[in-house]
Amino acid sequence: MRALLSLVVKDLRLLARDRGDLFFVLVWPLVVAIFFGLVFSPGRGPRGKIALAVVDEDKTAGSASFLDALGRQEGLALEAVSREQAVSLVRRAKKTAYVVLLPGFGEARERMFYGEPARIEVGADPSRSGEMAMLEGLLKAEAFKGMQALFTDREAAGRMVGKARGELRAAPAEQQKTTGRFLEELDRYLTATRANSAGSAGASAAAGGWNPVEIEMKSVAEQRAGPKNAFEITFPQGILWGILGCAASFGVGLVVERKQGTLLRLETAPLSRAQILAGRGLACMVAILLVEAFLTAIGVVVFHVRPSSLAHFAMAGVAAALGFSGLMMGLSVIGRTPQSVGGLCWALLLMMSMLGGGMMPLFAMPSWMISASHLSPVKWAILALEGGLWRGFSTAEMLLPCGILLAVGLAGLALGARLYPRP
Amino acid sequence: MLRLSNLEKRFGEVTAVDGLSLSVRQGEIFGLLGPNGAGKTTTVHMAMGLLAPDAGSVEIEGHGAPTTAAVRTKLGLAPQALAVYDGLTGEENVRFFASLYGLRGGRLRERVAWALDFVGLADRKADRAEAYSGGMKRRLNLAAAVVHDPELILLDEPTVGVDPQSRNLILDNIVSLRRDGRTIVYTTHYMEEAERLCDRVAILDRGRLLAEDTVMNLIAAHAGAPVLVTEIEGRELRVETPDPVGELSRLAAQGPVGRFYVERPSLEQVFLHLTGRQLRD
Repeated sequence: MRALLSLVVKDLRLLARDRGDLFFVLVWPLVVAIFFGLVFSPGRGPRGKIALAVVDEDKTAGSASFLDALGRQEGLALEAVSREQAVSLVRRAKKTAYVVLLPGFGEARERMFYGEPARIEVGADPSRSGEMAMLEGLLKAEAFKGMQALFTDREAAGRMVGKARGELRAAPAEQQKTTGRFLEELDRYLTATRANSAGSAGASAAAGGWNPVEIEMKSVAEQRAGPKNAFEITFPQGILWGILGCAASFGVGLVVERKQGTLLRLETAPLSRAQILAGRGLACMVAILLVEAFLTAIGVVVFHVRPSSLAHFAMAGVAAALGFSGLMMGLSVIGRTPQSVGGLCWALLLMMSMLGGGMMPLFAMPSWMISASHLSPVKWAILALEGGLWRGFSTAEMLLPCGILLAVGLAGLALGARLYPRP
Repeated sequence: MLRLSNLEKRFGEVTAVDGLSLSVRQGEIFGLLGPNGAGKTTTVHMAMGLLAPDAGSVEIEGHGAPTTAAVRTKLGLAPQALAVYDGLTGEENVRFFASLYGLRGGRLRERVAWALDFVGLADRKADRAEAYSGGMKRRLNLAAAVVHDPELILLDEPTVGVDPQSRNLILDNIVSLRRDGRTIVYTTHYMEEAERLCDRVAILDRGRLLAEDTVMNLIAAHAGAPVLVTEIEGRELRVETPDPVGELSRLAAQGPVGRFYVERPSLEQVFLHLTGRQLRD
């Protein structure tokens, strides 16, 4: 087992130190995923904004001005729609969340320190907790800005106090007494300072226990019927390029070892042929898994790629790693020199990629090519990755592409073991 | 230590080794001498268990055939090719090969340090092999062959293409290994190396064993007598004689002798005598 580990570590170390291999294994796949992701992104706004569907059910000047101010927030991109459309957009993951200003919003915004606060309904998928926390903060910040405006706008504040005193007549006697005294004093203060435009800026303060806005969070489960963004299509393609890079690199590596004599040295060590083969296959598989993890992490962190099922996505990643590691063993014996193996390896892998959707998404292919793509393991690997990413495959649906990848891997392994080069 | 009995190996129509029988004794340096294509490397590969002979047998005395892991830990091979990884440092190369033989922990560190020091690469151990000269790579090749402390070491043309300094170092290393009780099979087509190093030599040609003995005995048996070359009255006189000193005394008694020297027969002449061809043909 330790010898096997030594073989794997040695191969990974050699891969990491070969700039040419590293380019094809890490850089090129990333370029493919990002470049085509940007190209295929339809009308994307500036990156990092939370896409919101907004619904104004209050339809007052107060609600309109709130939405207007919200629209000027750096981190938000708003689209006004009906409630049904808003829910549907969030459900289809076309928008991150919806925001509904409920009836009475504008009126509540003109009150301060008493009565019901302005109410907002926010709907989003529970998985978007990070974005929701940010959105909640932005909504509250905007609501408090409104309060600040009341303090600095003496006319508006005066109107608010007058209205409040009128409404207070319906309140219980005790509250009438205390609040009335406060409002009387406040009104006197505002009257005295109304003409004084050089007066100091209004203070911003809120009474304890009172909120200018009440946000009601609603859970709207996203139905992932399609990719949420173009990167969810291009990242599986990028991952595939990384896998192909690993397969080609390790495929050529075996014949390089034979040529330079290190394979002979391995054969003289107390290792079985199976151990030497297993070491190479395992190293290739580990390299593929690391590349998949790296590219997926970039996709998730930077490009908002979100696997709909982490378990299925991982299952696809492992199946692809097994399949292409086995395929690599088969490819490594198709020639006798590094040049011939390298050339044939890339030629075959590029053909598989072209046919299987590694260069052009399958949906963009003519029908005859889609039929032919069944012959390419690249197609099944992309399908499996997409199944865990945005196609929403069930476990049973994942079995077909994953099973085919395993079969390809076994066939390649059998071929490689049979034609394994002698020193 | 190593016994080869009636070994035969064919590659298609070509007979690489033809009925070869040899016995290498414990603690000696045994030379396999022959031109390119004589069957030296094929013999070494069969001795290592890398190739299965078509006929005959290989036995590592006391251990059996070199086909099991247990026997292979007793053997070390420095292949003719520079079988090291250019992308790894000298230390990583040696450590990797040592780890394949089950060395670990303190023993691994100790042996790796010893091997690098043994071949004079301790101060360059952190450099990648791709930065090494040809001679340094040859030495690294040797370090990787001996790091696991094998009893029988097979060195296949270990000085090909190296500078004189590295060659001398490698030859000194090999003598040092013999001093430590290791048995060495040394293939070469450099006769001067075989004469300098080997206790016994087997001369191969076209897969067949032509002769096997000590260097002195082979020369005595096949290379003829030494030649005394003298200059008498401005003329060069060459006399083949088993007793050059006696012959020189006789000539000096007859008259004044100018310059003189003795041409000592070499393995080259042995090979010429046995095959009718030069060794480097």
